[in-house]
Amino acid sequence: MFSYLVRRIAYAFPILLGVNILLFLLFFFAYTPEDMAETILGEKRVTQEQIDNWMREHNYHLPRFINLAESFPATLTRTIFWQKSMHLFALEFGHSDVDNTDIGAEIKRRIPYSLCVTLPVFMASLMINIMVAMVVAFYRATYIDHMALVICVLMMSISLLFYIIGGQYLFAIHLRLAPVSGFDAQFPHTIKFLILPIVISLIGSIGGGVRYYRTIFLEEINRDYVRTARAKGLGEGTVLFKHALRNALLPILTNVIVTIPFLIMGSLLLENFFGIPGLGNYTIDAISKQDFAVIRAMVFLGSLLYIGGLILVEISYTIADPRIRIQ
Amino acid sequence: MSTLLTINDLHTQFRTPEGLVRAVDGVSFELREGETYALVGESGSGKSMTALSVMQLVPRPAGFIASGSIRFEDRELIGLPPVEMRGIRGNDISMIFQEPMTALNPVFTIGNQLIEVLKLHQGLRGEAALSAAIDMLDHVGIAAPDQRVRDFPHQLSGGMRQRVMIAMALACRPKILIADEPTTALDVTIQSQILELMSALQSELGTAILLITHNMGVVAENADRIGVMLDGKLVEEAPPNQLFTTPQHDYTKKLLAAVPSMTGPTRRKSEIGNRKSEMLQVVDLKMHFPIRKGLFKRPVGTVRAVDGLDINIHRGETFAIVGESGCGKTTVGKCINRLLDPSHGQVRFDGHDIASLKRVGLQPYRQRIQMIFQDPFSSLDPRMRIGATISEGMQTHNIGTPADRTARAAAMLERVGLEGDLLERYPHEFSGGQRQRIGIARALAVEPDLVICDEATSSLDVSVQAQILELLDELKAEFGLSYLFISHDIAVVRQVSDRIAVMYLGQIVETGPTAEVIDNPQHPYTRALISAVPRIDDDGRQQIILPGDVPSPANPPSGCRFHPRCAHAIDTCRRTAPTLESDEGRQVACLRSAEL
Amino acid sequence: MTALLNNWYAKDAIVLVVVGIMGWIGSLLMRREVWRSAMRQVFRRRMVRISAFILALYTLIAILDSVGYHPPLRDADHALHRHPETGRVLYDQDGKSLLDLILTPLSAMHEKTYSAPLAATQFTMETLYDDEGNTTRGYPPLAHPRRHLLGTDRVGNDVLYLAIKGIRTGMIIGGFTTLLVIPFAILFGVTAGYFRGWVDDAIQYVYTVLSSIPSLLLIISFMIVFGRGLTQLCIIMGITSWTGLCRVLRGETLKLRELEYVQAAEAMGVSRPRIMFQHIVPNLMHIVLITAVLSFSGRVLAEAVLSYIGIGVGAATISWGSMINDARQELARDPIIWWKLVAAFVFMVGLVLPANLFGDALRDALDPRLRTE
Repeated sequence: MFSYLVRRIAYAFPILLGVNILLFLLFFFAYTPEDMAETILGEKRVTQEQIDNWMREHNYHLPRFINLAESFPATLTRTIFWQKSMHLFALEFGHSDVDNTDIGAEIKRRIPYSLCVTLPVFMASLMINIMVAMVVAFYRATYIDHMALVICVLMMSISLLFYIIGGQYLFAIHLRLAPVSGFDAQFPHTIKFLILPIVISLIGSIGGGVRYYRTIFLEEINRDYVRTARAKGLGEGTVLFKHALRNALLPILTNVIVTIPFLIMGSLLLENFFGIPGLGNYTIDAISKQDFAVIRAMVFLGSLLYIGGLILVEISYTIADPRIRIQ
Repeated sequence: MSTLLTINDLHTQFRTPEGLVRAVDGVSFELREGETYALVGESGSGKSMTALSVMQLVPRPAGFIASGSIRFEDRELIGLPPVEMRGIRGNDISMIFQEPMTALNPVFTIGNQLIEVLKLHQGLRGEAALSAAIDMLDHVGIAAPDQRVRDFPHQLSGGMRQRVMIAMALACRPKILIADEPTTALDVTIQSQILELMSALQSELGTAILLITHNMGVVAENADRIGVMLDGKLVEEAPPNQLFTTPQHDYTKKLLAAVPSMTGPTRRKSEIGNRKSEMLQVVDLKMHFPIRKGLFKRPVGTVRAVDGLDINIHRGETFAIVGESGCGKTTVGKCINRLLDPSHGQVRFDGHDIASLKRVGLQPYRQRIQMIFQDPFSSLDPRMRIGATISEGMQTHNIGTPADRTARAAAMLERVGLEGDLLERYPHEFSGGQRQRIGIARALAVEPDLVICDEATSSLDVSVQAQILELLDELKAEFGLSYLFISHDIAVVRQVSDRIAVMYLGQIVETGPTAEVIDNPQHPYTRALISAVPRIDDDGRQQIILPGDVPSPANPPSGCRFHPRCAHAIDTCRRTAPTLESDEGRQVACLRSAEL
Repeated sequence: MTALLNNWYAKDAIVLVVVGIMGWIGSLLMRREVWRSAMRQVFRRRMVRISAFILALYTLIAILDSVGYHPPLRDADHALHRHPETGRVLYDQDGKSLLDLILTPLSAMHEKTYSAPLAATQFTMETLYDDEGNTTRGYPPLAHPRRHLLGTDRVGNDVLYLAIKGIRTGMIIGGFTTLLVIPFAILFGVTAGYFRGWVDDAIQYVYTVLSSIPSLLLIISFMIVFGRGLTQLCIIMGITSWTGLCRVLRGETLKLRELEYVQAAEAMGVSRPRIMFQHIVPNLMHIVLITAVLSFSGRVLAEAVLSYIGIGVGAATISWGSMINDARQELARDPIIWWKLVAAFVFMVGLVLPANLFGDALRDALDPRLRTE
């Protein structure tokens, strides 16, 4: 198992390197450090000197790939690529381009806030969606099923923005059941700030979730082993909730587990609307301030988490599916 | 003998977009205690739906029982509350299915699935349930049942899984076992194991069996009474000897005439090929597939699908390769028509080695060697008109003008027994047998010399199979073809081939003129294989039942590959690999062939 | 009139090209009986027919909004402006679309600022002067009372007009991106699945790298680097959504290439490009079509989110996303101004819901594996 993990992680490296090179090309070729400096310093009335100073302060004055002014290994390390991109592999995210704060520390500080929202949403939505989907699958091809499907498609067709804006207006402004936005890290107070974003997020996910899981259940219900289970005399409940569910969990796993690491990235929209100081909000701030260093860090972190998620999926498969065993 | 199950005027129907389908259309029969009643018929005759109706498992909501009566002992099953019906299923009436590979739940151990039945109907719990499950596995002939009980279905072979299914079905000693094509997906040697097991358990437990099958031989050897179904109706019912000697209904007569026989004269009309003129020589052919694992896809093992094979095919002859699944016969075909690149050896076509030719050099041979495939439903491109399908080969090889090609396609279509004006149709508008005819037209349109028929009739109903075999026989003479006929069905091969090679685990164990090999097999495997074929006209032969399964070609046994399953194996067989010993056209690869 | 005719141009040739290509592909497919019967099945349900009608209506509006012309300049008394020396008619540098021409009654109805749907008076109070010169606080009457079905926005534009103008943006993002993506996804997916080996490895590497970057973050990076705009948005959405379809097509090709009809063509010596494009691609088209329709709605929704975070289409382009963005401040007012949000909501759901329903119906008809009982 251990050697498998090592191999799997080694396999992830070339992909992360690809991500890194892509980002580097995007941020340092399509856009140059000079452009960046101009944007941040304000486009008008900046002197070349100010730009040069800014670039030196933020280490953007170095050559991009190869520094011929230095001797090996500094030829490679004293470059923007090494300093800005390769350092990400060591999880050294560097400093913000705008206010020079330590990005790594900021990420660490904000992760718990993001998890406050995403973790409960993840667990509750998984449970609710699967349960509703099973009930719908139980009543397949009946009036209940058709109605549920139409409602799901309708709910899927509504942008999360509307759920947030509408929910915020209805529950916070109109009914005054919860604060409009804000955050309090003190425990019991946290809940009242979290309840609304969590509920809204659940409502937003239910349409797509139920419809997807229903399709998976229906696929399983038509398999031969389900007929065998019925022929044994098992009740429809046991057939569905034991035999079909256990098999349906396999495709669900791939879709669900890969998102687990992403939970720490938070949700851009929810955090922004409800003023939760997590990573989602951090990203939005970085966009409005044009803070390239933070955006690069978040993109790399996102890819890292995605690949982490893929590895988690494979590990969980070997546990859940007896047909797959790791040598 | 009292009656267990009485079915009276059963109608089971399906709602489809095209309208109502009467899958079962007024079937009546009864099943008596301890007997085996067989329902036979071709696909779509409604025999499986009759069985599912008894179990009340007709696929909902499209299918439903429209009317009729199914009485089990003194209870009417139609309209029985679901709770009561569940008490009967698996307990009084149980069922096994065709596809043992998918009928078991892949994520539960077989023990778990067995215990589930015992828990449900007998209230057994914990240790008692486990030991009952182990007993049951032992009963159905699974070795080391106390370990196997913890296995998952994928760890067992197809035959073993069907044994587990039988164990599950018989765990509660039901009064009726419904067996829906229980051996159709299995190889013939495994089939005889399973049929023997079923009949042994039947005499022990006194279970009545409702056997559903398309295989007349299986019926003849296992049933007490037989019902013949056609289009949802029961057209004839009789005990086997009466049915096979004096069939009453026209359809039964036609069906019986179509079954390829293992004795008596064959129906071939075409001439035996010219022994002098060799068309294809395969020399020491090997096809090894590496098993790759890990990051850099290192090869960690080899599947020896074909492992040193020599054959010669003469001009104008039909050469057959027979063997069970996994023996490598299909791989041989694909190496010859170069869908695969052989790992080793020569494929000499008219004296030219084509085994290592690349795309361009191979092009002329792509015309001269053609193939007819097994599955009529996947062998034609569903999005292409059949005219285009037939002409595609001529177009590829620059034969004629577009108008010529269309004319020839129409002519070919007529030659294979379809109307020439159907060129604009799509494959889904044709039946399985018609599609197979289209496949033949496609192959013959480019005027090949050699046609490889890979299980070309295996997925067809027996009456259609007979027509296709006849067509192939006519075309052979007319177009001067040679056939390489690849099949698992010895009875079919006996009907069509001049010479035969029997394969086991990637090697030929015996080869020679078909009649000689089948009437007087030398190799122990050939003997078992031939004796295992169920037949209508049983001549009182002794069935040889081989133990165990075919070993994996990734890890073949040492010495003679057949030795672990061979009753005559001696020490030498474990160490020394036999070679094909020639004896006047007959060749046998057995160290003990002289003594046996 | 002749002057008008001489000054046509395709405001966004792309939209017309897209519609043209879609129509062409559609007519090619419809020549085949398989597709015709599938379509008959799709259109059997009334809900689907209604959906298709709405989608067609949206498409028509987007087309009308993409045919532009330069209107001649006119004086206050409607006389044509002419060049002082040559005497030629002068034209407005800013183009108008055919849709603008049709909607002139709507777009010309300017107010000063907010007014509620079908209101007679302005939404905000002003100091009013009566005939005697007295001042009172009150709601001034509108220039076009009870004529604004969905009210007006902060600068007095008719909201219905804005919502209708948003259609073109939504359709371009949904439709153009799809057309941009499909050829690449087919080419790379089928090539990878058919040739396998190192070709497959290379293509898989590229799409794994691309898909391992969370798409929202990649879009953000791209839009920040290349600036806001419709074209940029379409391109980057194409780049991020290409991988999903490519992966599916590769998987399907791997299955198809083992099927007997592909093997038969192979054994016949049919050339590789012909096998790929005659035997494999046509048998994948249903997947492409289903994915195209279903991902269309995803993109329309994504545009709103991106415009909301401020990296979508530019401020000059009217889109539902920017309407929602404006609505955020309006909802904070008391009493709230809800009509702009509701207008964007209704028009978006009006596009996304039929697209989803139509996509579902297509999938049920074309992909038997996903057909439910």
